[in-house]
Amino acid sequence: MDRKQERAFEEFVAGSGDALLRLAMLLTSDRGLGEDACQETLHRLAARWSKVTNPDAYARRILHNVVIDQARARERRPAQVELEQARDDGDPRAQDRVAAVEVRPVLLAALRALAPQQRAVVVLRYFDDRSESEIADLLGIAPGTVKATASRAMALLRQQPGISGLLTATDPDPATDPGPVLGASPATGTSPVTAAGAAAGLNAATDTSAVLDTDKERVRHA
Amino acid sequence: MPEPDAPELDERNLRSLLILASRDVALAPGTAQRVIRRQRRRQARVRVAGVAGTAAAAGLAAGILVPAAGGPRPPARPAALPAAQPPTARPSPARDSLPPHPTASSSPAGLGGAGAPATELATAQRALAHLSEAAAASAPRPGGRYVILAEHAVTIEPNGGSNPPVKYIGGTTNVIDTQTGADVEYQDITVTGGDPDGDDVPPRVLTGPAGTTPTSAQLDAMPTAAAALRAALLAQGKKDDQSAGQTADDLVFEEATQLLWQPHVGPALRAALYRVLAATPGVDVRTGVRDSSGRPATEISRFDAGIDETPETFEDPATGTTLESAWDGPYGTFSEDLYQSVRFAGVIPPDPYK
Repeated sequence: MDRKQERAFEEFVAGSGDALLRLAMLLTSDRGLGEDACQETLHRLAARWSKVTNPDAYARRILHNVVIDQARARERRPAQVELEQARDDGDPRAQDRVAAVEVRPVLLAALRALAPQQRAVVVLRYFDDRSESEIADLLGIAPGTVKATASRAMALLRQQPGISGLLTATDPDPATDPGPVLGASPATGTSPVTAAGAAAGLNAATDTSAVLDTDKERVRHA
Repeated sequence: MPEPDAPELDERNLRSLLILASRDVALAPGTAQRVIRRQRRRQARVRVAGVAGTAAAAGLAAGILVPAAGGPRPPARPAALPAAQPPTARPSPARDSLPPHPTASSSPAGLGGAGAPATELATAQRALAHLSEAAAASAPRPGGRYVILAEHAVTIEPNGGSNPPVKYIGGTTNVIDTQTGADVEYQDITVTGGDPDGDDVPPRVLTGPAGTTPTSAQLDAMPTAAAALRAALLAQGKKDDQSAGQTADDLVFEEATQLLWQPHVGPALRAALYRVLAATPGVDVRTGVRDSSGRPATEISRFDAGIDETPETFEDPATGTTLESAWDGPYGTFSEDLYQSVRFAGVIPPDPYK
């Protein structure tokens, strides 16, 4: 990367890095693993930055590969992988912490109960707002499989301990929750807290998924 | 089973829970800059292909070695650190558990110059001479077109204030084609819908472009006289995207240590690289240490004011081969790459993750 490309990379990370990290955490169902996967994704993205025409879509494809790759590597070489303990301190957005630190352990534990493909479908469908056809493309499975997998995953999640308690203890109504993930402001890192903000975030997600349609990047493992 | 009065999980409230659980998660400050720095280091390794390619250029006359003017050597760490970001101890238990070892340094004026105490200078010279002799006496490069490298990478970055540091730890397997200089990569999933040719990409071994790593032939064509080799390294360093503050000695040290990292450097060139380092001002040498895997090693380092980091390399004193490459940066920044195994083979090995 030359200096100009470095600046462009910094701008991309400022605008999309948080969303990528959140997606990574949910796909791995572990904050520490998600941080590792996100870092590796950014490293691979930086290595090919000058050739990437659609960094948002390309980063998502890399992330998906990295999550699978690192899971296999951990299975094969458990002694070589030391992972930082998940942490919930040091977060700059104190107003979001209370709900998040209560919900996160229960939800991540529930996600860990799913098979990797089920987890990927659930996160991509309900968090990243991907269509069934997009998920089918990304995971290399039939659209019908996506629908069936999502249904089975939802049924399994309903059986996980603590999920129903979360629904009772929190107010997860989209009309009042902060909503947007991809729509987080890069300038402040804070999420809008209005329904309008949620709608804006969903629009942002839709824009991103549209971009995915035009992705022409080939993903290779480093 | 759901509690009697609890609402049932559906798509709508699952989405909200997913958002609630992740909305406070954000990248650590400076993540992009850290990625860029690491990418620069990777590029530095790739650049040595250029060193090899230009080494045989006719203009590299022997005898143009001119040690840089001697000045006070910068401290190994920045002297002043912001109170909010105290220096982080280097997380290398195996290395740090060793008893303190005096650092030997080559002279600020290079070999034979004034500056470092004579005993330290002599120790540094002896250690580098020993490595050079060990490399020269080592076995020739094994047969086999491909070098299979199992590597382990560690990057630890401070995260501001009292937050835990950001860590990246992982292993990789890479393959170098010593005839073409291509790196072999592995893809272990099917990618669909993203191929510009409209074809899906099945799991397979992918070969990268030639010339990203020096070929064995290029390495064998490098000069082995210290002066000519230094000139080649310096010429390449000046061509690269160097930082503004980097001196000629900074560039020579960087290029030489990156070349040492190449696993298929032959005995004669490896021996010559140690002689170049011995003639480079400001090089610190510690003997009797261990690398991060606990292997006996000789540590060679040099503070580079131009990039505000201290590149380090850990060499096997018995064979003169490189075990580990690392960087110490300001405020506890730390990164290292270790060779776990290096072997040569006549065919590309199967995907290690399958």
